[in-house]
Amino acid sequence: MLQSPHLRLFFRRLILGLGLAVFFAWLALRPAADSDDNRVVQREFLAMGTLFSVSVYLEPQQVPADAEAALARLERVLQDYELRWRAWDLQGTEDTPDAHADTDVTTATAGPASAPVNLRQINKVLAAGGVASVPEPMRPLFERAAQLSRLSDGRFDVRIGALVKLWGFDDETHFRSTPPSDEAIHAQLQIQAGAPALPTAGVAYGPAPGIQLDFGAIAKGDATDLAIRQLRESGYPNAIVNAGGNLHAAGRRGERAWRIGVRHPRPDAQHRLLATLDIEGDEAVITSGDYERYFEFQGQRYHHILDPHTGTPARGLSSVTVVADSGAAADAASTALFVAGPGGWQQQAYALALDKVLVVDTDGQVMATPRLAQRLKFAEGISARTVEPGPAP
Amino acid sequence: MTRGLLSRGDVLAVTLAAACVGGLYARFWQPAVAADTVEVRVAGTSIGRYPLQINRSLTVEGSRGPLLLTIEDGRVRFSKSPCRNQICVHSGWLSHSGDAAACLPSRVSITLSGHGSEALDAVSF
Repeated sequence: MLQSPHLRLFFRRLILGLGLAVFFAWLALRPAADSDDNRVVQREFLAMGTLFSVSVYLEPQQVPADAEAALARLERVLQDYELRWRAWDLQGTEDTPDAHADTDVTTATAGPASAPVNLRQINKVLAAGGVASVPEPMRPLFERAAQLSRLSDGRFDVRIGALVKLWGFDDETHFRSTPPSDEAIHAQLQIQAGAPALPTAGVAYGPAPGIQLDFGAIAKGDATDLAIRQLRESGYPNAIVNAGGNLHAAGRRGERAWRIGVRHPRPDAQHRLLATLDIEGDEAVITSGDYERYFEFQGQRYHHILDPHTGTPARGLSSVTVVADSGAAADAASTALFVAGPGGWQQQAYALALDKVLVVDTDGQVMATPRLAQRLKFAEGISARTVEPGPAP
Repeated sequence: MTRGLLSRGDVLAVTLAAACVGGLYARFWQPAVAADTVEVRVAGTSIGRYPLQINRSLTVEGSRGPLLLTIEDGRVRFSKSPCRNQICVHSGWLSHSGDAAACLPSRVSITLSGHGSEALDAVSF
């Protein structure tokens, strides 16, 4: 068929050339081998109304089976944590079994403190006009919440439970499709204004008629702290905990740091991430955004981050990321900064002693504090204006 | 045919080989932080791992009915969900290692992984 020697030579060269081309393309494109991949043990589970993913990096003497057992224990701890801090009874039919059944709730009466064992029971006592005692294991987070509420001038406030319910954001399965009436919002704001503040060192709260407590803006961050603590005590100092996008990492992933990305609040084909960041030591990275939990009504987006002062979704920012040592503090702070908005987040960051903050406003402008900006590797085409936190003028 | 440094046949072979390299890069190159696989779980149990380079639609049976996952051009998203809140659909396209999304009412989750030198361990959102 190929009678011509020139043609035979050409095809031989062509086949050789194409073979070399495929070989070199394969060499260049094959994933770089990561010798640390098989030292990472990961477990995923649903808890606290979100997807948890926990990874640990094994030291040379550690074996995967032990790590898997430690992660299974951690899952049970976090399931218990959820039962303690969930503000409401679940309304769906897929509830996990409730180990803390409400059989031991003390009937709420005004007067002597009752003895609830979880937040749902505390809310039931408050709803009945009683004084709810705070169980000892829950006191540290109550005190932390009280302190952060004071430092944020109420922009972070766990007393907004009834407001969250009014907007329907308490039910993961069934948001509202219309905003509540102005009258209903105003009435709830009046109740909050007249209610006692959360005591900073108290062991009880109430009476506070009309008030329901919701720790949703701090509990996931606190859970990541708890998880890192427990893993460290179990002998796993190198770990990363992801509670539905709320991250806390400690130690390293073998030869390199734990590496995380920050999702773009308004992604397009080129920009799904704002930036990436290598974690240094023990740090939490928590983002609050308006882009996942929301409903739309008459062309307006109503998201789940409510301003406790106006009773409506906070406006002006689309995402706030806070990097801090404590997940609980970063979680509450990201909410407070989001509520403070484009004109106030710098002062709020200063008041909360935060130096690592990344903010995107609803016009798409990206801003970062210098301490964080120098560590972020921004996605191509994205740049941030550096803004120093500072006191109110 | 003249016997120069390169014959016309050589030039044609080199051109075709270069086009082959370019075509392979265009088809398969991805950023180092990109994921190459998505793992789908129902109620915490893995039901499959799927390469992101092969476009396809997947119907996943969740506890509230079927969900539609779309894999397209190295990315994946929840396209349809029976739940009212649509939080998983709002998550949009995911393409980076370490990223994840879940439809909690249906107890269906997806997690992306990759093996590039710059692969991410998690994404904050």
